[in-house]
Amino acid sequence: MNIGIIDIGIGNLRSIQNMFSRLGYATEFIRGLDQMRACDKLVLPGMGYFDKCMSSLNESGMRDEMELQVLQHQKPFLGICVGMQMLMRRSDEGQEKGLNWIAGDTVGFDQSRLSSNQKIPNLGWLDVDVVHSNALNTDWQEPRFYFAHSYHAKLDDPADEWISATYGYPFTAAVKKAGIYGVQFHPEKSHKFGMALLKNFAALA
Amino acid sequence: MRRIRVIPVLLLHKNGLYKTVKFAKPGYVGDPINAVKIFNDKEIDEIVVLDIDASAQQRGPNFERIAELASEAFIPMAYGGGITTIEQVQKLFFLGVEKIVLNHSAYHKPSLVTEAAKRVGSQSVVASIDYKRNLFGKPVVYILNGKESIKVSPVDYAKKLAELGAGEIILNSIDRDGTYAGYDLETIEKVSKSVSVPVVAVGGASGVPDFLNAIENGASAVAAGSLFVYQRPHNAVLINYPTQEILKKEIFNRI
Repeated sequence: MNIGIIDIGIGNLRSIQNMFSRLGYATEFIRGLDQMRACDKLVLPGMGYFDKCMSSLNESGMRDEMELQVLQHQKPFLGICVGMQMLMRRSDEGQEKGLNWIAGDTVGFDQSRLSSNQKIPNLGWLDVDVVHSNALNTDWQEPRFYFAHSYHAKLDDPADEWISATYGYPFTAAVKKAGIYGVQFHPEKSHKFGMALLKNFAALA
Repeated sequence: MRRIRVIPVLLLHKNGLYKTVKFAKPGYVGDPINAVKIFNDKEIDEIVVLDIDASAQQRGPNFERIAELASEAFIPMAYGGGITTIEQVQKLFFLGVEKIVLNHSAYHKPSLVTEAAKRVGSQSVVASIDYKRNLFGKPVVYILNGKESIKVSPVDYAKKLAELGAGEIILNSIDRDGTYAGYDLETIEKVSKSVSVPVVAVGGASGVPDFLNAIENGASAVAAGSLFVYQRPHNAVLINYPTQEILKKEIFNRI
């Protein structure tokens, strides 16, 4: 039962490790192919600029193995923040291509639909709605999560939407397709709600 | 229902947790790790930790101490104090800090704001503005814990910091620090109107009604120090935080 946190030199890896560790799960920072093969589950944290995250992943030499492990071997995968945006085809924030594991684009918040007191970046906690329930959202009561972002996913197929949240208008806060999960918010910084989510992820078969 | 963040600000001084009044008279509050643990158990929205000695002593962040604090914070933690290089920024994020707060460096090395925003995203780069009113009542920005004036207004300075790439402004009234006199609503309104990024109000909060005032005057989030570490009237140390029920009733459902 090994959870691998993919280290492409970006993101708050230690926070994610801290939360798994508090839950009693060992994690490993993945920096090479053998390590990745040895893991049962993968977490991809992302932070900052989309292009920087994509190019760092491409240059890490781990991308092909990650695609093999997730798409072929179907290891459960969780992308966090930009790690979720990377699952899309592309992002308004940059030029690099995304992983295109889930059909959709990452777009900037439509400022014409926000009121003057809804500033960008969206920094803070939002109550969320589960659109299509799955094992990761069991034991949630009035869930709320911490968000820090200026962009969000826009899916082609509504069936891939797991969680929706509202900031000015409803947007996709989490996606799920087969064993691929992506969350725009930060479970590792969302105390009991994040713990419930990561615990459920760790417990996946 | 619209949630706004309610943020305790903790000051690190001489290896302990302290609280100032008007940026002076630091009073000992206790062990920072213990305070973070308690706040974490109270499921607070976010925490800001500022090392008020670092820049004054011309030293960098105490990474070991910060890592300890971050490991107990399953909530977003912002850290400020002594950050002067992009390497320090990256190390702080690796250790579990969610946001960095730049104050002294934002003035002396503005390129760091831009560089950090490019590296970690503007949502994780906070610039803090400490200001006080001069004899004519005009607000003026200070650095080095309120010791050195940089002769610019908070509005002009906030605009500049946002242009440099700061994704959030912490607006701290030195005059009201630790006084429970309520927030400086006039400056909060002016600064909030002048920038498109969120503004966090700090300085003077005496209770939940002050939070509502700050939000109604344009703040995107509210923060406080004394209010969350002391119990009045005698300022006995007591780590506290309003319940979700109170916040919903008094603020979230009213804005």
